[in-house]
Amino acid sequence: MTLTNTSSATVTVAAAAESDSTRDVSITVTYTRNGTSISQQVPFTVQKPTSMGYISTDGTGTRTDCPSGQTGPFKKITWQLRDKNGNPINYAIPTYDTVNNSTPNSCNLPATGEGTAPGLSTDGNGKWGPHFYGLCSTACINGGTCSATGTQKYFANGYQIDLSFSMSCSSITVAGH
Amino acid sequence: MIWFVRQSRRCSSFLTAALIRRQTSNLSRNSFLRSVLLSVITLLLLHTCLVAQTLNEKLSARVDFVPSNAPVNEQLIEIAQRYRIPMGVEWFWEANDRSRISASPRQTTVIGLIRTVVQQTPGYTVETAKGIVLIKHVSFSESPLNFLNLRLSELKAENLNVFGAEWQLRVAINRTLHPELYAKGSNGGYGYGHDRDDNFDVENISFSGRRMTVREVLNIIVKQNGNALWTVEFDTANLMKEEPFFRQRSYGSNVDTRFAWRIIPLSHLSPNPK
Repeated sequence: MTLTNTSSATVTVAAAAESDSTRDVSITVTYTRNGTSISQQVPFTVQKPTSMGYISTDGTGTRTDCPSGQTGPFKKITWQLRDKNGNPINYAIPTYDTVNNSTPNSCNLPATGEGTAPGLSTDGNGKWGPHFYGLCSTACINGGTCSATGTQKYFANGYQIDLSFSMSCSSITVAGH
Repeated sequence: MIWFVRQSRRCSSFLTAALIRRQTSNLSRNSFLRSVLLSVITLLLLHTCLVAQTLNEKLSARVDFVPSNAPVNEQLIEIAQRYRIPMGVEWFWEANDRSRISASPRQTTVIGLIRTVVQQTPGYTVETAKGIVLIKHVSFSESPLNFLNLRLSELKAENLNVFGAEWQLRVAINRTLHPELYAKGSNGGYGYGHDRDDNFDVENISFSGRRMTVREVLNIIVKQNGNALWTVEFDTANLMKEEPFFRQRSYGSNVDTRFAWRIIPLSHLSPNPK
């Protein structure tokens, strides 16, 4: 861990590794005036994005915006970016995600789906979403069936978090939700 | 729209207060008829307040602001945000572009200020169409190498927020350019920071059609959201590696494989209650 600008009102702390446990790192702040000093220990946690915690399912249904000759389900899930101890990361962290399908699959999906483009961030409570998930497939027309599996890869400040998903004509499941 | 809502809230607060005062004092005499009459007057005045906020009136407003010494396209964003002007900016930059132009204090209207900023960079025009101000380049904007001219095979959106509409646009671009991959199926999704102060999560965007251009869709997104502008910055000296279009400035995207644009809020409001 390195500290810079240690004599100014704003001290920059750069950590080389994440905390083992919550609030296991301590910085000693010393205030000095007219030769008199007071010190205070400030414990904190060095957080590294590790998981997307499930918050809620905010909607499910059948899509109305598929191209002609296709249909499929949608689902909305709100996630929260957390560290390895399950604590929310309460900062706006630049985040995007990709969707990678296992091929071949009976939903006629290509290897790559369309995820969230870069440029957005989690909110100040680490919350992301509600994230929309959707499938459109010719296989689902007229009560048809299909299934596909894959991995949604989140990139939060560059750290990768993988969630597995499965999609069918009637349902979507992401990381078991 | 946000500005409209604020104005209408101001108008309605004032008028409602007046209405309550009148209603209280006259409750005993013909109160029903008077209430109806006052309600009609309230609605008429409220309508007047709202109608006053057209794009033309915003553009005709007196200028009380000078943009910073930023690059021209950034100055345009500043003006749009200052006066709540829905705008689309197509900017074609070169590596040696150092144009930083200060607006002339002689300009007295918002549209005059926009034209002054734009016209000092050769080749650009200012158009007003369908409630949006568009900044385009006479040569590059209509080029087939400009992906904004790409006509999308099919596109449908129903009550989406800005992020959903953008995602649908990306899916439609993929489907148009690579039908061999997406003709039988597609999937994916989009997320965004939960608590917002820009209204980009309000689900008020709907459109559908065939052969719409990317530019037209971005215009619709901005217009229907009511608190946004869009901008694309092109590098005309280079093409995307995997698509036959001018490369765009990257905002974190890999512009070899993905198209890059920015939708920027005109103002920040209180976060929407969840």
